[in-house]
Amino acid sequence: MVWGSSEEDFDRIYEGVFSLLIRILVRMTGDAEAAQDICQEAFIKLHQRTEGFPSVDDAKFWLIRVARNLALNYEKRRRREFTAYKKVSSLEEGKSGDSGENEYLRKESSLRVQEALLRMPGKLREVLVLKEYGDLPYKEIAAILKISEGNVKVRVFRAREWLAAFFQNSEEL
Amino acid sequence: MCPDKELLSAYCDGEVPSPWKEKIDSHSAECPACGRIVARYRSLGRLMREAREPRLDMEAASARVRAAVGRSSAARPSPWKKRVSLPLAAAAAAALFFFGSGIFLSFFARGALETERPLAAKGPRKVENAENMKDMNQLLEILERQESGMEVTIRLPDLRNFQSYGEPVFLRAGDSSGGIRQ
Repeated sequence: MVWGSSEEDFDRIYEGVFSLLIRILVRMTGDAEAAQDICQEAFIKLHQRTEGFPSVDDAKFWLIRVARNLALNYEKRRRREFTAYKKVSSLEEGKSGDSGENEYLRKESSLRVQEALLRMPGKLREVLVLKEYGDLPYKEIAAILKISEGNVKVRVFRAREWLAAFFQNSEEL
Repeated sequence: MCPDKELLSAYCDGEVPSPWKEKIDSHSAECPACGRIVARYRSLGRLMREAREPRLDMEAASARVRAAVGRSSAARPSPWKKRVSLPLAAAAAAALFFFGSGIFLSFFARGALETERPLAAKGPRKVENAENMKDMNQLLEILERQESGMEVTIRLPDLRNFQSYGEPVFLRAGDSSGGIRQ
């Protein structure tokens, strides 16, 4: 049976996937505005798609895959701008003397995590974001990225090792 | 023997099934090296999840995306089929038109092939009491009684003040048109 032949099907996938998708996109892009733009574009592509899906899960995986590709394109454009953004943010942090040390460290840590994600090789970043922020099992990540579960396992492991090395070099851990 | 780091990473994600999971549970509790690796992977996960994410009003974001999809579909109709609701009279009239056209066209197609048919059989003939029919069921019954292969032309009343009445019979008949000979 082909799934996705009515507006009701579209509504169902929208209600079921929107919050997951936007959460993943916010983490992948580090920008709420960009995440909404990408999310919007992905849903428009879904709405205009002519072929149905074998199941609701296939529709969900297709949508996340499209959004991930859009996010990768966005990230390529943004990567060059990030260093400048980080410098400006750090200067602004220094100026605000009323925030406590913990708050400062937390913001600094958030910025480091975002920087690490943007620097991380794309193939590692996408599995880690889908795992840590999407909270998806390996099986679903494999279906989204069209790779084997074994490959997901290896990439998650390598992403963690990469992240650990990044923070070690930055004396974060 | 210690499990490899890749397996410990999968273990942190809850991706190692029994009985291996229980074995790693007890091993990582006893082995300081493996315990440290598990703790490190978990702290990395925490660090990522605790990292502040850009502020986002989910409801507003959802409404914004929804509206954009709506605008897009208005500009370019979606292939996701919409349920069309027509007034009953209009739906019945449309069904009647297409149904009548189908019969009419099939007659011509058959006529082109069956050249041996006597010309007299092709002449127009008025269905008796057609104007006195009260509903579509009667029309269907009359049509079923006619010989197969006859031409049928259905003329709608000239008046346009149709009123909604009952279920659209021709829509229903169109779904299971086996009873109607063409």
